[in-house]
Amino acid sequence: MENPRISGILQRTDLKAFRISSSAENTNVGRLLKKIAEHHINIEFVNQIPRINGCADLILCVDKNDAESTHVLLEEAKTARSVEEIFPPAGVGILSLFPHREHAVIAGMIMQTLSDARIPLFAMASSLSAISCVINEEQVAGALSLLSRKFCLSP
Amino acid sequence: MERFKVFDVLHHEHLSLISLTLAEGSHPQDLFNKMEARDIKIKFLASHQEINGEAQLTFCVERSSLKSTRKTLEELFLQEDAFSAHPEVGMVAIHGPHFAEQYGIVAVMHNALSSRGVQVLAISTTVSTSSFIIPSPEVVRALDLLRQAFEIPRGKI
Repeated sequence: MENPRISGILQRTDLKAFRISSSAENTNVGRLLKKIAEHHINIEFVNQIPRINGCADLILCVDKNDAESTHVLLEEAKTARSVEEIFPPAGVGILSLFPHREHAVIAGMIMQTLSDARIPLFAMASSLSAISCVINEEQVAGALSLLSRKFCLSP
Repeated sequence: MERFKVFDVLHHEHLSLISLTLAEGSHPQDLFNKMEARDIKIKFLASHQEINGEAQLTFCVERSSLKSTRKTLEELFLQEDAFSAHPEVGMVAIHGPHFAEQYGIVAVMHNALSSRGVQVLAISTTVSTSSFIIPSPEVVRALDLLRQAFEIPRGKI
């Protein structure tokens, strides 16, 4: 099969990813996001997926410079029982490929390329125009190189 | 909090949400490749990797594709009880090229919906778009709430 054509890949580095579990109460997540915004912290990436037990799992990525303040806010939320569990933050980068035009094969190729290179895919998200992958910061350059070769980039 | 400008608001009322857990070493690309072969479009995707190596995968397809998506899942490696489906969900998404530099947008969107009782089932964000999956019957009300929460150009909702 011919390599799918994409327009480009955006790269964002110097981020920290937090993975948290929150209770089923929707307003808890809303309150948490609001608290982070009140501290002028930009959340560069947020993913929420439902869990079978009714909890929600969230991945939040913020700039490294905001990581410490974010961690404090998350710990406060845990004390207030808005957050059930906080996993240790990880240094990550984000690669965003666009456009994918809702083609499942693009997501599949990204997963396969990273999996073949043993690059863990910490999180993945799509929108109408782009697919973003969160990966360990040390592997961003390698992943970018692999994905650039796997897809046909428009000149 | 200030009222953010957004470029447009997208919505979709006829989606189904599939959630599944994949064991470490699974090949979700097989699933996506089969879906592509059946012309099933992915309208939403969010996945997380667990500490133990498992992957949680959540995606939306057109409701009309739910049957063929289930069939694809069953053909591959998953039995009916290995995945869950919300057959009637919808999506609202806001878009703006400035989102990457602007804090607070996703918080405003979440609170506009959750504080008024709209259940947020899943969220994904990319560079300039935040997409929320909600129960399908709530989509029209959610659009009204977003109209109040954001400054949206006429005709862009």
